[in-house]
Amino acid sequence: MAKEQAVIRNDMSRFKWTLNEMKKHKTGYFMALPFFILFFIFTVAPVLLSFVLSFTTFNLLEWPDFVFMDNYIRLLLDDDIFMTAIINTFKFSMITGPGSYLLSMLFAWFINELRPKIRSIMTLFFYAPSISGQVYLIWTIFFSSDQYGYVNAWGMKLGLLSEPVLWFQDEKYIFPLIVAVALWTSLGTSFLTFIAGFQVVDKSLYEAGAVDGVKNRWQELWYITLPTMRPQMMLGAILAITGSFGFGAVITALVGFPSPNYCAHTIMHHLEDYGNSRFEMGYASAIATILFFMMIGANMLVTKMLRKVGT
Amino acid sequence: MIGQRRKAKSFCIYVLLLAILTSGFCGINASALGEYFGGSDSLYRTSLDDVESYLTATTYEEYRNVYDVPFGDETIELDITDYLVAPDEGVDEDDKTAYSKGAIKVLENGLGDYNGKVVICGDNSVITWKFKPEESVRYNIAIEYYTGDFNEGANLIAKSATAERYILIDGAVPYKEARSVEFEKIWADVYNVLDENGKFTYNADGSKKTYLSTDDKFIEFVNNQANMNPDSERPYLKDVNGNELKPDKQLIADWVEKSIYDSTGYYSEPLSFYFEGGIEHTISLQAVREPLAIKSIKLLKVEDDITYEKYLEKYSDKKDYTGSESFKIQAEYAITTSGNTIYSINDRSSSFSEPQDSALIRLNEIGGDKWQYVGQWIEWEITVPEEGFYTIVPRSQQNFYSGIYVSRKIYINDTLPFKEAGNLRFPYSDDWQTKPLSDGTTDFKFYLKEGVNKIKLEVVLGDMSEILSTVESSLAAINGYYRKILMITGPEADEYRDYGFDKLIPDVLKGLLNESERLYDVSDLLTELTGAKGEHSSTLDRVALTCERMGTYPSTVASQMKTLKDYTASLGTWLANTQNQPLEIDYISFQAVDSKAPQAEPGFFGNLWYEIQKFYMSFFSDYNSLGSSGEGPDASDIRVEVWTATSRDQAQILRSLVDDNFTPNYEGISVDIKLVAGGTLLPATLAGTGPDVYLGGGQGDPVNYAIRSAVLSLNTKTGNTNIGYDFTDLQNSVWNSKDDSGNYKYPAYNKLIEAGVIKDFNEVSTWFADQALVPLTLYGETYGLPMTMSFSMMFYRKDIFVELGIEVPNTWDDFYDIIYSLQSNSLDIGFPTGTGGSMVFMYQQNEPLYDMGNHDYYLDLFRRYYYEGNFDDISDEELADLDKTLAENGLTYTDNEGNVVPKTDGITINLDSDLSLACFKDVCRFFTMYDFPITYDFANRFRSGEMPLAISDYSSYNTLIIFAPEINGLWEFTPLPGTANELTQEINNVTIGGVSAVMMMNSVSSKEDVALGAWAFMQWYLSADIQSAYGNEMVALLGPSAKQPTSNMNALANMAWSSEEYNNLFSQFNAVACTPEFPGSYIIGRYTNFAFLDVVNDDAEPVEELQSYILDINVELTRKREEFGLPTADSIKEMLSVVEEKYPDWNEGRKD
Repeated sequence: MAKEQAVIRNDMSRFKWTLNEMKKHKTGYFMALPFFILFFIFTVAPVLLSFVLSFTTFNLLEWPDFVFMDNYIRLLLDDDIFMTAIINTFKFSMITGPGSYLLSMLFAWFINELRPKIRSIMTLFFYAPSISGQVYLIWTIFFSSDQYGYVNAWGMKLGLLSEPVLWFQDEKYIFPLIVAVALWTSLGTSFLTFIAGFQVVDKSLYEAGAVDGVKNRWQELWYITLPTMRPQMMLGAILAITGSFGFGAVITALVGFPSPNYCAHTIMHHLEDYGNSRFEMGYASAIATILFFMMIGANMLVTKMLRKVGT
Repeated sequence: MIGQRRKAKSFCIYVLLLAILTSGFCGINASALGEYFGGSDSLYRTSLDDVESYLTATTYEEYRNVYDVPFGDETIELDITDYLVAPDEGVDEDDKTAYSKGAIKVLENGLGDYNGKVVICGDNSVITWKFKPEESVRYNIAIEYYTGDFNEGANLIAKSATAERYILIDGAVPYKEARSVEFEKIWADVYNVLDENGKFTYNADGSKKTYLSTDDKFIEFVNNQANMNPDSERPYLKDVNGNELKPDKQLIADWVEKSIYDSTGYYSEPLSFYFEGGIEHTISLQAVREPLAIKSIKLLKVEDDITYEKYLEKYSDKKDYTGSESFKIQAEYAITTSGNTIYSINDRSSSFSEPQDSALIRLNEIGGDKWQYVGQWIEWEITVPEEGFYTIVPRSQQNFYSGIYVSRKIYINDTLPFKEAGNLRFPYSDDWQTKPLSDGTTDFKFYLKEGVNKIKLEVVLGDMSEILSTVESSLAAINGYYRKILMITGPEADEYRDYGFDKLIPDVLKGLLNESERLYDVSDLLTELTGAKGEHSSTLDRVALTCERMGTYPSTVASQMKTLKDYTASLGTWLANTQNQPLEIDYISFQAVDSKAPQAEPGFFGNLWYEIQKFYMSFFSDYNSLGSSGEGPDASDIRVEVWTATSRDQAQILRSLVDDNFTPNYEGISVDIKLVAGGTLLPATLAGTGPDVYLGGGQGDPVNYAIRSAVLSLNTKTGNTNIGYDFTDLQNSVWNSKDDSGNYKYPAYNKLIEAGVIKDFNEVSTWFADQALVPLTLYGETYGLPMTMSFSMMFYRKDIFVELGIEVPNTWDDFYDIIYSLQSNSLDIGFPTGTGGSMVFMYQQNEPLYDMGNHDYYLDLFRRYYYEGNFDDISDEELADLDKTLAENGLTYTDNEGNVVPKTDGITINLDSDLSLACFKDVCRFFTMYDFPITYDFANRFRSGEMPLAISDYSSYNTLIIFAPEINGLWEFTPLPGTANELTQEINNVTIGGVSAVMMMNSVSSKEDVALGAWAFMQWYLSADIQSAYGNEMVALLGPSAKQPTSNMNALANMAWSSEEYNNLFSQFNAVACTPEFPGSYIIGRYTNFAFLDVVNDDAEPVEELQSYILDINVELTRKREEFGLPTADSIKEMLSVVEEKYPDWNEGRKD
């Protein structure tokens, strides 16, 4: 036995080593296989395929022509709206990503302080908007452009408005409104993970911390609680990033497509525009590829930042 | 800029000041008109004279109370042929109103089975008779009319819809119930004669053998008790799986005498009319819809209905039936019904429904929500072996409206046996009920004669009629008051201001209190009838309370306006719902008096067992395959796959139309109809599993798919580049050709083509409005056929226009004039925003959306660019060669006449022309300067009268008909105002239409044989007969709100429009323009909307704003054109520079 173990690692190539390891754990791999196949067919393959398609002029109905980098060149150098979309997406995700993350965090922390029964009630209370599907549509009722819409009617009654405002049709109001909606719906899954994360922190660590000289609750949070729940924070962060990048559908439901003067046009919308209304799937794939890399980049950035927590 | 804006602002302030001043004034003015009960005379005289004589606020109840004189004591029959005709001379035009006019024809030899004189009055006619009583008297009027079809020339063609008339006495409608008097037709079921294998049998001429439910064969069948057993054989056709298929309906031709009743059902007795003694009166029938053939008109002597007590007394010598045997009619075996929408339905809820099957569809009931409108009736026949009194026990269910009951009236052998039988109650219940017919207190017994008896049940409102009529008149009054307050306060009432309502409009406040009291009384009555306070009475109470508060405390009026509006809207909905009286009937049992009624529902275990069976069978039922067993598909048939993304109901209707009409008429072609989810077409086409024909593509789809080769053209000519077939000349087409051995290549098609069953493209395209094919056509090739077409029309409220004394605008100048009248009364106008509005202006001045035309110029340019020698000396042969090159390069196409046309239409947008910009500016001004609302709920605002004028899609008609019954007859839709041509003064009132399409997909591109089958289906589906049948079925299934905006002109004409609606609709139908679709056209709506929003939100200058987007639009158009190899603005510029260098003065003399 000892002899066998001794041969390892240095005696073979990395590939052979992996193969060897796989053989050893074949039951595990076998059990993961069904999921992997599905995951590959429905997630990995489309991503790869769209990467390939991004070098073609695919119009959904005819066989694609290979055009090499044309799509990317046009996208990056000759598409003003794409630039608008990038700026909007960044603006939007810069506010809502960290915003929703911090909000979830804060609410989770506060709620964690409550007694268990009240805690579960409050959790449901805050989590409800994000599980009830298209509940954000009530914002269109509140902010209806009709003079009988709630906000317009009240605003006019109180003398704040002199005529009905087209809330979701006016560039001035759209962005703040969708940010508000995004934050309102953001207390979702990441909020639940945070609550779970707070619960699993080992109580003895706090005692140890108190002995080691933690002076207040902030220090407790920063040096003990947060580092302990780093995995949950990671998950929360990824959810927040993908959420804020992929918020397009909600914006479309509220503002319509496309938004007036592209003021709320995100990369998702640009993708939809080219993929659905203009039948330019090749170009849309190029957009998707760029979005994909942006998300990876944001992810790496967040991972790095999370490492700094508690140090 | 700033100066301009300031000017506009100060102008607005003046307008506002003026508006405030005048609104106060008008408020008083209007309120002075508040109490007009006395009929039309007290109405404001305007030139809307015609309208005026029908707008009366008097209800029949008021009329009855005022003219409470005895009825005449003998029946008087008027001579129908002696109708009043205006003499040619000596009568002023204005006085001719009382005379007969329009299409009227006397048939000397009768109609149907009657040989005497018959008068047919057309759907545009007024027919008037004279009558002079000795002393003041009241009469009911009875009319004997014909229910069958006839065709006696223009305006005299019966279209199988219910006929509707105004009743005018001395040239005016005496009360509002006389404004809509209906003469319904009679329908019977059509059953197929099947052979022992369940297959169709045919007549000598190839048609299927059928018999009617009024024929002896069926009458014999239903009068035989053995056939009422649930296990006995049934007359219904079955589909391949054994599900029963509902029989067709057919109009029955018969003479029917009917007293004039209130069609809303508020009054259960016939309407009576007052005639002052010693004066000559006129009685007129003015057509609303459908022609009417009349045999006699009688002024009836009235006999009171006897009470139940008297009825029992009258038959006191007759005995009760005491036998133990009971007699049954299965309700689905109706003999006749009052409408084609009342048919047998399937109930799966109870195992006791007869017959029932745990897996298959059995048509075991009749009625339900198909039998809910007042006046609808069903007639059955029953044979009883001995005369005497019977108890009648229907197995029925009313599970639609909780808390209230529905009512029916029973006729036995065409007479109402006694008064109480006009008011039978069926209370709400989740379960089926078997209770003897009763009025809620007494269980009745009925005398039946020996042998065959006719039993008819009719929908009435019963005790609810009084409540509903009060609520309706109350609602109308409250809406009127609401409008009067609105004219003072404006739409946003300031609750902190003291308007001084008690001084300005004391009568309105008093009126509100009055209405409040009335509604409270009604609510109490309702509570008493239903036995409990519930949601129904609370709807009434809420309105009553609000009115009470407003009337008592004038200072709260302003703050309660919104509440009142919401509550009255919900009261309107309540009213509309409560008028519906749905009831399902399974069977009717006739049994011994006081004998035990049959069990209505199984017990708990019986139910459980049935549910288990149903659950088990659900694994084996095939819910998807449709089609009748009458004939199976032939293996050799050409199969056409059709996809539709509508609802299951619609697909089912289509399926049955295919079975009944397509399959027998188009031998050799079979059609598979598949119901798919929206959005499946694109992926399916991509994967190569798409359909042959797709129903319901959007307006842009055909062209968008076609330029990507996914949709086929229907009129491809040689020389054009796109793929497709040519259906323009089927006689000489490949489908009618012979192969080498001299046999027809497609014998099945040959037969159909020779018989003229399959119409060719040129003929089919004449079925639609001239412009309907425009969006589906690109450069000479048409890629689809229009399925529906909708367009805007102008809706206005007649009553408000009369009240304000304004005219319906004919031109936009008139329109501008009335803006002031409406807005000074705080009333809104609905108008399409942005280019939706400005395109109407543009097309009325013949200004297209795209740059079009100039074909000679471009063609010359292309030729000169491509010709290498000196173009001025080109020979004819070379020219032909050159044109071929141009076509190969995708620059030109050959049109139907064989001309070479450059593909330059739609190369740039035309929104930057002076005229287009001016139109856009005009429309923007409506929203900036005139403050038209941008977002609004049309139906609600129109109903409340806040928006008495709006330009809206004509299908809003459907919504209004159903959801705003309280304003029926008070509104109309007319063609849009027009733009007058400066030279000819002709008014052009074109509107912009939108279509949806039927497309032939590229899956048939390599299958020549299927292609003609697909075309045969397309032209069959869009033919007038099928479109009207489809439309009527939709109405039958989903109610009158489901009127299909079909694109087929004749089919639209066949639907049940009143002649006025018809005239308006068709004058607009003939003036519809559709915008063409070009590659990249999706970008236009987007950018023009941006421009419009900038103008409205940020006060941007409309012209500058729109111009700033023109470049973006043109760039996108160019980019898309490049993608498809079409000439673009850029490539033309390039060519131009080359050509100009070569031929410096080539274009001389062309530029005017």
